[in-house]
Amino acid sequence: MRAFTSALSRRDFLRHGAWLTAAAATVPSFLAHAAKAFADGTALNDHVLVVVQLSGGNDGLNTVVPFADDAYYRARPTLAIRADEVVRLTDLLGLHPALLPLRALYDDGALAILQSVGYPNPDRSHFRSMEIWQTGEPDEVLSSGWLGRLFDHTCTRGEADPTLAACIDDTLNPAIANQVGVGVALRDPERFHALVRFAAGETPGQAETSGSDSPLDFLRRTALHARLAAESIRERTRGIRHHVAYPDEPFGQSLRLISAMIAGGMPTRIYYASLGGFDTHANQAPMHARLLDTLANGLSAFQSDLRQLGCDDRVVTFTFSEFGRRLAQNGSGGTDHGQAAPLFVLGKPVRGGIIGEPPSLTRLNRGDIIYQHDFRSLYSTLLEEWLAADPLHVLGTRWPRLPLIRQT
Amino acid sequence: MTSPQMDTSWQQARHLLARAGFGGRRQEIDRWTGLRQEERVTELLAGPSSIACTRPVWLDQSDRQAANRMASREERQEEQIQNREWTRDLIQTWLHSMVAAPDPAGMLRLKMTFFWHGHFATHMQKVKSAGRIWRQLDLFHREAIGNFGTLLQGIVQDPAMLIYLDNVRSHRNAPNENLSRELMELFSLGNGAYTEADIREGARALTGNSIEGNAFRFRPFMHDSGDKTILGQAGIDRAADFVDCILQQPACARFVTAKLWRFFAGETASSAPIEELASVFRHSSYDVKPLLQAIFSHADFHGDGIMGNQIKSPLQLVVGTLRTTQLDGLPEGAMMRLMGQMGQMPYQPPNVKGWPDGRAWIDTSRLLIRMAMAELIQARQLPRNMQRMMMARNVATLRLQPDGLVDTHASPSQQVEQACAVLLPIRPPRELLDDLTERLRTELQAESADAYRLLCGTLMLLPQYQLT
Repeated sequence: MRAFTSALSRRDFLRHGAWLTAAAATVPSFLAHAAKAFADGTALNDHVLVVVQLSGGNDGLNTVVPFADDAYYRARPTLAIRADEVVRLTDLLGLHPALLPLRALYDDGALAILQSVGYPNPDRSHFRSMEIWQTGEPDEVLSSGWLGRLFDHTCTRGEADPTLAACIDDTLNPAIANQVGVGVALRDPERFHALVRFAAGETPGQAETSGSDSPLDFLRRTALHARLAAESIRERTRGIRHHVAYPDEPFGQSLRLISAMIAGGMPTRIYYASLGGFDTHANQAPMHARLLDTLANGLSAFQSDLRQLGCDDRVVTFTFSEFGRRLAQNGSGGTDHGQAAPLFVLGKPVRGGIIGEPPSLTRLNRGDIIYQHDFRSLYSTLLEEWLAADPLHVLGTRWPRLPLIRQT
Repeated sequence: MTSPQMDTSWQQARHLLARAGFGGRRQEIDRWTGLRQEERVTELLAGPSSIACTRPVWLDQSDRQAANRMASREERQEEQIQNREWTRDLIQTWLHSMVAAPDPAGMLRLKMTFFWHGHFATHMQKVKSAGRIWRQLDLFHREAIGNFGTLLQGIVQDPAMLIYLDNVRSHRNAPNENLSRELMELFSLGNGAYTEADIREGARALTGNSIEGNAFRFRPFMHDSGDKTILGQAGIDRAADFVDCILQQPACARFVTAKLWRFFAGETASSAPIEELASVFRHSSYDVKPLLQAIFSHADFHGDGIMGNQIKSPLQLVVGTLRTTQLDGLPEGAMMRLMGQMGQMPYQPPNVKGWPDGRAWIDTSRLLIRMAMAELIQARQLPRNMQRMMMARNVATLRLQPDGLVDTHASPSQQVEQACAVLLPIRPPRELLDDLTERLRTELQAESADAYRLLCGTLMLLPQYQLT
């Protein structure tokens, strides 16, 4: 495995010397610490975690279909996926037909399906429930994200490399929210670079800097970080040749950028991509099929691209949504907010298969699927077994681990 | 010759306008320079403690929808979309009223309405009905610099808050503790000033405070009328008694005072004069005016550690920029969108704690958005991605009125000095000013319509502009 390398090399630094002289007093410590942040006692490996957020509440029952259960067809007279249409995985379970591209991953043992993931006393509000997943805390309102706390406990404030986490979005996802200044949000490296050039551009006025920690120096340092991050991402993604065609829509393009950043050697450990529109209260069938098609084609292209770029050993991806949907369909050909739902964990390092029992459709909580796996068990497993971090610092507790990652 | 902008009195006037309001225009700062500090503070606080909150034309319609229990699923969905639009409309009207505030006193009151929104944070996604949001905004406008006790009593009967913190269905058989906890932890006393038992007892007192459509409704059959003991005080029955009991705690004045001090003075390293100010607040029975008078008159408020050391909130940055430049031609919704990109979308706080402030406003992405706003003002042409972000197809049509910043009859070098002094709390280096003077001279000689956009935009790109 390759050692951690800083994206912001001495060479990068020197190339922009003229601009950087301005804030020179604060630069060396930043460059030194960017590498040191992970090199000290809490050092992490070079593994990458890709989070795919499905916003709106994905219908788990029509994603991983319990096609052998009569209760499913009774509750969903027009919305159920017919048994002869599902992509059969076992005698009891199959995937929505739009998820056919994931079949190959499942057969390769690179796709795990974690059944009925949730948490106690679930909240049915999109807002609060998403917040719970993002902060990793159902009982208390926190300002930091679960992934943000990973950096809070491994980096020094103001000295961490901001590109350790990247959101393919206009703004940072709350799951990344942290105290130490990690995280960049971008959709396109060239545009991000243009924005930085305009914003933190060749303006004078950064001439005097004391190296102190005044608000003004803090602002200068942050502008400098943005500049270095933009340079670094552009440089490192430019020459990457992709081996597969990604779907030409925003989600596919997000994954394409992520693979370029990984292959380009960015030090980024956490990538965050989102796909929205899962709040299917009405006329669900065509909408949901389109969304799952987007998801499956994107993920499948991503995995095969990573394989051909030689990076698939280093990358684990998982999907989640803030909640599943009600077992019974409603009067509008849709489904309402529910509770637990299955999710996907994929990648070469993943131990494929189905974890957990098919959801019980007769033992329900207010008409909803009851959770078998606490989402914090998933987080705990990924932190400890994949990112080599102690879940205690991030989640406050070490949750029972799940057999998701291959032991090498 | 020393310019008037170097004068201490001018700097103090500038500082007070920036902190009590959204920043003064040149004429406002000049006028206040001639006043003593106590006269400035008196002017700020004179007159009514409330400020008008225009009743929206759609209010009755929103109320009718909320009261209609027979609505079909399709109707409900349509209403939700409509209410989201109305809420956006409310927020835009609110923000525009701040930009249009006619005087320092108006700025202070409107700034305080936003303080209360951050203090009593709710989210539009859960509150849903725009009518409820208007009612809450109206409360914040009525008590803008009024009485905190009245606000706290109002908030436990506020339909938006009752929904947001799950009190509407709180039943004596199963009291919901959410509002009870936040009422003490976030709204009045602060963590540690109460026990878990106080939360449970408080939740019982709050049962029955519910809603009917968009209006408050006390439901006696849901209320637990048994005796409760809260914060050591026995014999408490209803929510109002609970709030009265909270207001008797010394922790309450301290907690709210500390939050207001931080709002106006910023996150400061040195110890803040909280005890001293809190005692003013206690003795005024929670009237906000005497507390604000004490804050604005306090010597520490004008100290070196405070002047120029507050990182502007998106509200301060966006409203302040638009007000001082009198910028015209931004597309509808641009202010709200900019604030959202910077992490402060009104009625969409990150959680019930409201927005974390100070350095928490800044990360690489958000700083870029902040600086991109300066670019919007400066540039004639923007890259496509920024146009999308700014919702401005054609930034060439933006117009600003320079008279709030400079005396357009003065020499280019004087104008640069003036614009700098108005816009920046910390003077940028000499070379920059010389360079700017040259550029301004060239632009003015060429009679360029964009001369002042260039000047302002360049100064706003400086990190100093993020401070106030």
